[in-house]
Amino acid sequence: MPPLTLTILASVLHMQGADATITSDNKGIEELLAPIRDQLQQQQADPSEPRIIEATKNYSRQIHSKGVYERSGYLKSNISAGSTAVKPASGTAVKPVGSSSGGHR
Amino acid sequence: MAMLPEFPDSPIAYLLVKVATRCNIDCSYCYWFRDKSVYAKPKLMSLTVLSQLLKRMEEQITRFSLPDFLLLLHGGEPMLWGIDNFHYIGKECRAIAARTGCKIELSVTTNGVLIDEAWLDCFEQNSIQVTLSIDGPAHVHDIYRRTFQDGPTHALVESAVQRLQARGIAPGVLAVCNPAHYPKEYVDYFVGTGINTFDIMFPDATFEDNDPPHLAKFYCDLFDLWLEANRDKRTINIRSTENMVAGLLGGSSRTEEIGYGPQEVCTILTDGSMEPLDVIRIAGDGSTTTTFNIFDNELEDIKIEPHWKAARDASLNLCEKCRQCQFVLACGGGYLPHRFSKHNGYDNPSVYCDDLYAIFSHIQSVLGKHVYVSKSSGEKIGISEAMAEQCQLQPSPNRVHAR
Repeated sequence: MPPLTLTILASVLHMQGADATITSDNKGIEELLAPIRDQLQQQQADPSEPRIIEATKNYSRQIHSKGVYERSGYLKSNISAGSTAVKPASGTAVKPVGSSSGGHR
Repeated sequence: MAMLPEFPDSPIAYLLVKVATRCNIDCSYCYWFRDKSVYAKPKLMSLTVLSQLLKRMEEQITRFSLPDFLLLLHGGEPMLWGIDNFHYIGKECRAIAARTGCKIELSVTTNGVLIDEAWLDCFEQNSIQVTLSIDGPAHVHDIYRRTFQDGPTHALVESAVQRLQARGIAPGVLAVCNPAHYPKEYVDYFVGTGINTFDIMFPDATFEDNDPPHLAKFYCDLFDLWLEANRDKRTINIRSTENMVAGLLGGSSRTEEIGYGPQEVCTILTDGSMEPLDVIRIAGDGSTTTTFNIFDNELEDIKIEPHWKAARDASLNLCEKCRQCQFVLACGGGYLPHRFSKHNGYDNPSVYCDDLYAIFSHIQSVLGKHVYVSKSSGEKIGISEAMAEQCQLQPSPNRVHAR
């Protein structure tokens, strides 16, 4: 299979019917699919969002560090499906920040 | 070629804080001391610098109404800064959180050799997340991670793990890959030590290094181990492997080292200097040196600093080979520092490009056998088959091309 993007995945699922979803028989892969399913569901639930969204509008990264395990920052919780731009209280546009680092010590 | 996403501007909400520039052990592969300019910096961050840093942080939180902020205390060996300073920064961060409503997370990445009961109290009282550096079992770890007297350090770090676990603290664990050994040696050691969440990172290298190691077999085998371990039940989490898998499934990487996205780290040195990603130091002396500092500059100013801006731009403006690659989103050109050459700067694929391509190819081929489109009727169609159907019926402009 070629690498998936949300665009491709949404299109594949759309062709397979409204009840189609992506799953795995491996628990590790299944867990990694969960947030992807959530994103796809969010888009379907919000009629203002296009059904098949562009990868450019959904590709997000969370702040994560080479030195820190798992950080789900405010960006994660505030990202709306279909857009990388979110508005904090100040009204300043914020995007999902990319990487952050600190090396192996 | 896949479309590359855009990443608009966002406020700095994470700082890599070098509270100590020296270390208490002597790891031969350490990137930090490859740039000798580090010796020109104060050994430890002073209270004056810390106070200014906290002031800048609060300004930033207030200005952008940030709901959370991360400080990663780093070095050198950050615990050389002293337990009183850790307690102090913890107290001050709680005060800022109370004033602003911002959730401030404190983390430390350490070699662990100084951890004792008093430090455990400190971590608990100040809610400091701990990440330890352990290169797997002793016979692997002690090759590179030595004392200044050339003694081993593994027993000291293992003792730290046991102390943390006895307190109910599950540390994050980071190792560096030594492909002369099998990934199973790492995995068996970590699992046997009760460490189920860890990462094994690529050794840092640039095109100026002679013969970077071949990593493909190690990481393909590591993925196979991860897959088998998680077949029926979630048992281990290997960060780099999972980020590669997530990227190939259309998800997002949770680390800077893999996956397409901007490099936006702001590093604060012991004298208050503001620099880009610290690992860029492997490009040589002065490669991260700036004139910006927290006394003269606000945190947001880092975005106009030439080295920082160059790193961010380079992380998004990939070379032609990367842009044409089918794995561009999942890979992102690898880790930015690994793309450096004196001739081209960062306008290169990763020095590990061939390895990355082989690793992604392997993972992708396996994923095709384990991912399905499922329907409520119970019907399951292999993802490859479903994609083939889709391609026949509706050719997609986003379909990837082979490299």
